[in-house]
Amino acid sequence: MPEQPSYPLLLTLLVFAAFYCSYLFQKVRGRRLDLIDGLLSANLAILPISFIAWPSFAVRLSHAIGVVIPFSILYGVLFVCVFLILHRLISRQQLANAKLIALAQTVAHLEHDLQTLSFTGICAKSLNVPISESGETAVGPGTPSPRLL
Amino acid sequence: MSPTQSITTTNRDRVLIIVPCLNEEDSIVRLLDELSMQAPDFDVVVVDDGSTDNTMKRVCPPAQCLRLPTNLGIGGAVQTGIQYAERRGYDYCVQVDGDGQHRPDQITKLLTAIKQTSSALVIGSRYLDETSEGFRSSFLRRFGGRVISRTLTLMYGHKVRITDPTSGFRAMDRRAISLFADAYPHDYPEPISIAWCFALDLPVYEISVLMRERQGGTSSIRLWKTLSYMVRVILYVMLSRITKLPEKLTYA
Repeated sequence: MPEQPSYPLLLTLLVFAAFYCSYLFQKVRGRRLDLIDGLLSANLAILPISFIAWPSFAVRLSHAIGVVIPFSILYGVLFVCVFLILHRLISRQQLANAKLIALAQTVAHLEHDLQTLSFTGICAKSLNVPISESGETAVGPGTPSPRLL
Repeated sequence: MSPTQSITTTNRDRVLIIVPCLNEEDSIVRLLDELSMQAPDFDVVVVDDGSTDNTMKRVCPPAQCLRLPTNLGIGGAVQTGIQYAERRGYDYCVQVDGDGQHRPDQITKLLTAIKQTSSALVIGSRYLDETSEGFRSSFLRRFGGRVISRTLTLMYGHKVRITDPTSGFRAMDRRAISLFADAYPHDYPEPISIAWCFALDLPVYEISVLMRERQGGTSSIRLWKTLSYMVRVILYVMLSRITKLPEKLTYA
């Protein structure tokens, strides 16, 4: 049977996990962190405790899977958690990047349209031409009116 | 009558010249002056890709200016110009870099070629005519361009071999405008957009044009980065063979 862990070590880990999980909980509650991301991050603190507090569980699990060193499973599981967090981060970053590009382009087009509109308004006022709600000037046939989006 | 005028008066096609620029205050005024003299019938839109200098202040009517609030890179800037062309129903658009490397007197060659060959995309090549006297870039860049070109041919087995796949001097018709307004490659846009056209069976053509050295500003592709650029472009070209391509082709 594997030796039991010392209480100070277990207490330290528990205190750390409690603080970290409460921090994550606050973030999730405040909608500053996604629930799945919060659970994945919490696993990084909870999983080592489960392995350290119950070493026999790690040994049994390693026998069942066929892993020679029991704590390789812990590293493996932690790696999967980190991998999942990274994967989600990269996917979101790509999506945010695409959205940022589209947003910046829209801002550029809208700014240009606004300038065209204000220019149309200034011209119309100086010529005393009424402007419709859609921004078009009521000009006579054959007179080019600015094309707006 | 200049060739420019003869093209626009025989056909009533609307042509937009897209000038993407980043910190090009030294060269933009000269380029716009040249454009107004040598291509007076074409509309011009300058896409300021988040310049920190006075580039935008130097742009004056009749040239229009689209100011991006942040730097998106050449792909994002060009796509903004293409979207402008699509929204306003232009028939053709020509990309002319704001650094003054692309000569406005060569625009008519691109437009004549795109009309005569009914191509969706016409590339202006520095290397097609071995005897031309224009600016031909450094050996390393020429070599890089050749390797990218070979990769494109290898991946797509296209009959038209593109000698200058990194050239930003290009004309697009409504098919290409429609496609690229919707989706445009933001990483290495010039060679990848060619790859997309090949993959979507859009006709691509290449003609020889004269270019000159950049008139001001700094190139976004530095010499020491050329090799890494080449490797990454090759990977992206290979990747474009298996990636899902945009499907929107309104004018196809």
